[in-house]
Amino acid sequence: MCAFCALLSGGSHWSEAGTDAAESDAPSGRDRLMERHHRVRLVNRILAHHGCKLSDWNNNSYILRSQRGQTSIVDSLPQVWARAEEISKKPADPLDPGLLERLSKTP
Amino acid sequence: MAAYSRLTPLFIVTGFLGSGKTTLLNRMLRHPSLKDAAVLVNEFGDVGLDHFLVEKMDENTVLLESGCLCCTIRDDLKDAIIELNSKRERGEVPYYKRMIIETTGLADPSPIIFTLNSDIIIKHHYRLGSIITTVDAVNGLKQMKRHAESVKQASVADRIVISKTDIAEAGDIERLRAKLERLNPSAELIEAVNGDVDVKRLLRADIYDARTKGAEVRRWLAAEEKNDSEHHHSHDVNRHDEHIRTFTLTFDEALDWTAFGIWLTMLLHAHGEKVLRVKGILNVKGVEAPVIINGVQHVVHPPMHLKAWPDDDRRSRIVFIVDDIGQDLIERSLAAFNAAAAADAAAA
Repeated sequence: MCAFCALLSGGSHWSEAGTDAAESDAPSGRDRLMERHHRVRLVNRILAHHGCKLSDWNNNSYILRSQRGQTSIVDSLPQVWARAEEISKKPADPLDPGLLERLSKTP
Repeated sequence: MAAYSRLTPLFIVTGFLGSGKTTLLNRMLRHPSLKDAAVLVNEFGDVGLDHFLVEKMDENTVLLESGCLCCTIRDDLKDAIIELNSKRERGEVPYYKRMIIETTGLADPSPIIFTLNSDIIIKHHYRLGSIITTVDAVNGLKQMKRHAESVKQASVADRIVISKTDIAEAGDIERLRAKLERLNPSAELIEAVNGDVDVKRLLRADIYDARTKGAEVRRWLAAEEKNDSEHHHSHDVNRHDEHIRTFTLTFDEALDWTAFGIWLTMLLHAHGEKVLRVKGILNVKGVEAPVIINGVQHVVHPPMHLKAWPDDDRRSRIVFIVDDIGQDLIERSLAAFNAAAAADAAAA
């Protein structure tokens, strides 16, 4: 738990637990930070389709913001998709042809 | 948290009404290697009550807000496991090393899997072992034609026990085997006569058992390769049960792990109910060892490394069993996410 903001450590979701989560601890230190930044950048390429933006919060959670200023704290990718869908009223679906077209055009 | 392989494995025994679950379970419970197993059943019925730990669950389910049927929490199951765990910790019951859960014949096994993965206490003490599905050699084909539950039970299985082979016609057994191999090529088919099966084979080898995981992955890959080659040669357009499709995606280039996690979580968010199984071996950028992934509907088990590649093929191979989702679309989508990761790396 973070002593300052009383956040419980999340991080147990498989997508953030490393490639050998069954036997080893999740990445830590610099590797973990770089991976989180990479994740946020990639997710933002997708969320551009939904008019939302994700940012890291304390290396522990994420903040999801809509263009209209709605803000949510989310802990894991499944929560990101559920909340983005609620905010944007657009399905968070990787098979959405519109999303795939946007991804292919984003440099 | 303890390493996943050291957690207590939970085996699910499922199968349609009259398919021989209870006979199989009784046979299993009499086996000496299962003296250290706890068993959870829906009905005491004919299950051997002389076994030291047989507990009954009262079916009691809670549907989560998402309304997705596979994301239903089975409170009865959760409570029963936690209570048994407390008794084990306090020494009130013998220290069981594995647990077997028998479902009802009409049960969709997904809520059970979801429940096991959604409770923090259960997650810290238990892991999913194998899903064992019984299919009746006499009536199995008809049941799969008429009952979606029966197809689903076979689709999510790791081991399929074909029961009643002693009273079925040889041709029926062959047709059923062919159907099951097409529906779920990576499941191991085991024939039982009067409930007699190799119990050790059923329970000892699972994908998270350090001693057997390499062999298990080799078996998946061989089964899917055989299935693919037979498919190409026969051009069997009816290979899949109405809506269920089984296919393997192969990627020559190493995959970006972060992009893969983003993609799979999003796919399961949108279509988890329709992704019956996803499992595979991945070549991940920057990771020497092959990475194994294994999921059932919305539940993805922790990824793990294999010590070595099972053969000279270093491509990522992912097997999907899906309900009414096109292979092309899934392939195009994953490739687009991986290309986005490459573009991001180039721009960073």
